[in-house]
Amino acid sequence: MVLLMVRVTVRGYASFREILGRVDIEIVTDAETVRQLVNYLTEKYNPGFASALLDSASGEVMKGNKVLVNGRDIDFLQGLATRLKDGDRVVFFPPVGGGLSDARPLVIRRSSAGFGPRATSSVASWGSLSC
Amino acid sequence: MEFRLLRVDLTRRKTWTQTIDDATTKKFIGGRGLGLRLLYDETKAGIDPLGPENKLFFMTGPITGTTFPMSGRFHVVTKSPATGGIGDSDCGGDWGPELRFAGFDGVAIEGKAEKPTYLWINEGKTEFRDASKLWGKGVWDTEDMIREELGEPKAKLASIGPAGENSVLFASIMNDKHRAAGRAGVGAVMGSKNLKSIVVRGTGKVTVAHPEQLGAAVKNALEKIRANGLTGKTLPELGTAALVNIINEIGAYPTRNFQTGVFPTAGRTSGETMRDTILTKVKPCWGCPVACGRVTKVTTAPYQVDGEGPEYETVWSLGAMCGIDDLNAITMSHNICDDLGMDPISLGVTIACAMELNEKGKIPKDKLYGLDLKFGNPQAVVQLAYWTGYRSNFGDDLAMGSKRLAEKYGEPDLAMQVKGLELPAYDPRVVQGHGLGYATSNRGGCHLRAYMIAPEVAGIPEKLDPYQTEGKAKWVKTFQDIFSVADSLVTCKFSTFALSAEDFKELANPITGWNWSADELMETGDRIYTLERMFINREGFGRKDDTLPKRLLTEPLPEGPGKGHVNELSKMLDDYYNIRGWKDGKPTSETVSRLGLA
Repeated sequence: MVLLMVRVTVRGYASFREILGRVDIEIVTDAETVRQLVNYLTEKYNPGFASALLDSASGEVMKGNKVLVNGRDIDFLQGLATRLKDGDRVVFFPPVGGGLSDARPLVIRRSSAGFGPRATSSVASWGSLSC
Repeated sequence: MEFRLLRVDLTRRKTWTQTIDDATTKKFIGGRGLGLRLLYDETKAGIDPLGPENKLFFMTGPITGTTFPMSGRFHVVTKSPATGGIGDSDCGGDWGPELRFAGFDGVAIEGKAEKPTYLWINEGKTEFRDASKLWGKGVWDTEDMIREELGEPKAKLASIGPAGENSVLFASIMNDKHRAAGRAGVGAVMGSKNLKSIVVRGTGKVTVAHPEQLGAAVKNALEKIRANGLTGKTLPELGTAALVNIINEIGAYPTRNFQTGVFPTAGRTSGETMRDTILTKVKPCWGCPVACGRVTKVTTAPYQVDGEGPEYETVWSLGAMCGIDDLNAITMSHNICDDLGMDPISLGVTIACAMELNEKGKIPKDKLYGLDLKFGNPQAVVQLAYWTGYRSNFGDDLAMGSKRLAEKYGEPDLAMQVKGLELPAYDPRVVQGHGLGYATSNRGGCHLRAYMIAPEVAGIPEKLDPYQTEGKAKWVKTFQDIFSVADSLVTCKFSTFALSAEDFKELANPITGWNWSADELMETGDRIYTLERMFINREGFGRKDDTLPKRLLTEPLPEGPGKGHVNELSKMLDDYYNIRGWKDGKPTSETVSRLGLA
């Protein structure tokens, strides 16, 4: 049996970059669909990747997360069944283009009432977060 | 709910108070809507926007200064010197609430002061004060000097910088040094009246109709704002520049004057990069739980600056639009705009236009005084920001904005503008509905009249295919109407990402006592948007002006996800007019009657 291999570029932004651990990943894989690619990345790079990306009940992309293949949201292609071809670029975004995972919530300090001028929060309260 | 308007005649140096009745405020709310009603009624078509006959309204809304989340704003309404149509602009910061604490809901400026003047509003009392020694000063010095002169460190200011004094057609009005009523040249109108600043101090309270009902609605709204991915996470963490990467990835990031939609090094200027390099603090406007404002500091030569920003729009306009990926230079240019009082969107788009004109050999060398005006040169952008604010050298040409600049040098199609206002940071060849929003925006090229990026990119409130044209007209109208309400209440438009019209109703009714339904609220938005249209119709705007730059309609994107696409405006425009009850860009008499505008 001959496996058809494809070369794809993968990029995770914000929390997905942390999870995948690298900026751009060039992959040669026998994954035929986005779902198979997600499984591959979960196996090879981080066992938490699929659970951060997919809804555990439905197995589909979690609401708010976004997967683009060559700049197109897979919801307007064939979803996770979208087929991959050589040279594709696949990127993963958490909700609305950025943000951190729920596991690492941002703390914003507020004035006691939650209102009023100068309710300033400090970067120091962000701890060691980095993307 | 009555609206207490401070009337100011600068020519006669008189002030008085007008109370606007509940019936009128219920139809136009406050802010953008009520300011528009007053401007429409009190000025004639064809007046010179920079003449004493133009009026300038600073308007809060019924929710300003209350516990309604994200309500620390005010709205400026006037006739725009950039477009000749409606010129209105929204501003965050802390001035709006302070005005209400001082006993007024709005300030209406008319006439022209004989010499540079600032207006001091202190706990309901007013005083005209000499601003001669402030004329020529930047916004930041102006704030510091006036507070010191008055001995009022807590005074809040809405001021202009040299750009407003010098009639730069995209001059802004600045509050809290970095918050801007940035668009449509409202600062030039203020400068034409010799008015440097309106300074307010107040310690009163804003009363609401049913305070006992408001608490629960506010609690619910705050929970939704915190739970929303954008307002609860992305904006607090990364600021508006969180959008850089995703808009670039979908190929809608206008680059080098919209010549392409992909900027390969955009990531160097993203919200993530900003956070990891120049960010020192986040900063909210008054009463805001989101805090998207960025306090930043650049410490490395040659662009050292200690200030705020940039935001998504300025990261782009002073960055990719000019082919620049140097975040330090962008931050410097952005802060020059804040201090000199200029709109960075219009400045960047005008510079990009100039760069393309120059690369096509259209600008005589002697105009540039040796400046290397080419895409990708950050030093040129910083230099031109100064020149434009002071109208020196080639900056005098840029101060006219891109439309007049491109016409002057014989290439009008190189100006990326609608109705004379420069376009913002989304390429409508990818986001089709957003393009319809640009084309039909009453104030010209603007993303804040119908932010179709919410459904077409972010999936809020539901996900729409950006390349589809069918069904987009209805969405554009809905966004235009609810944003008209948001600007009239006056709340930050980011609140609409988390809150629905139903939520707005639940929050606004206890404050106003109007007992609105969500449908009535949306009809009020329709009324305001339609009256704006009647204002610009009166100035000669119509279907011919509801369009996009030729490049976006006829030149397909050359690369990236949008390769081969143009904006298909003609497939959406008639649908839009039908849904609005307009014909050829003008409301029909039936629509005018239905909305109570006859």
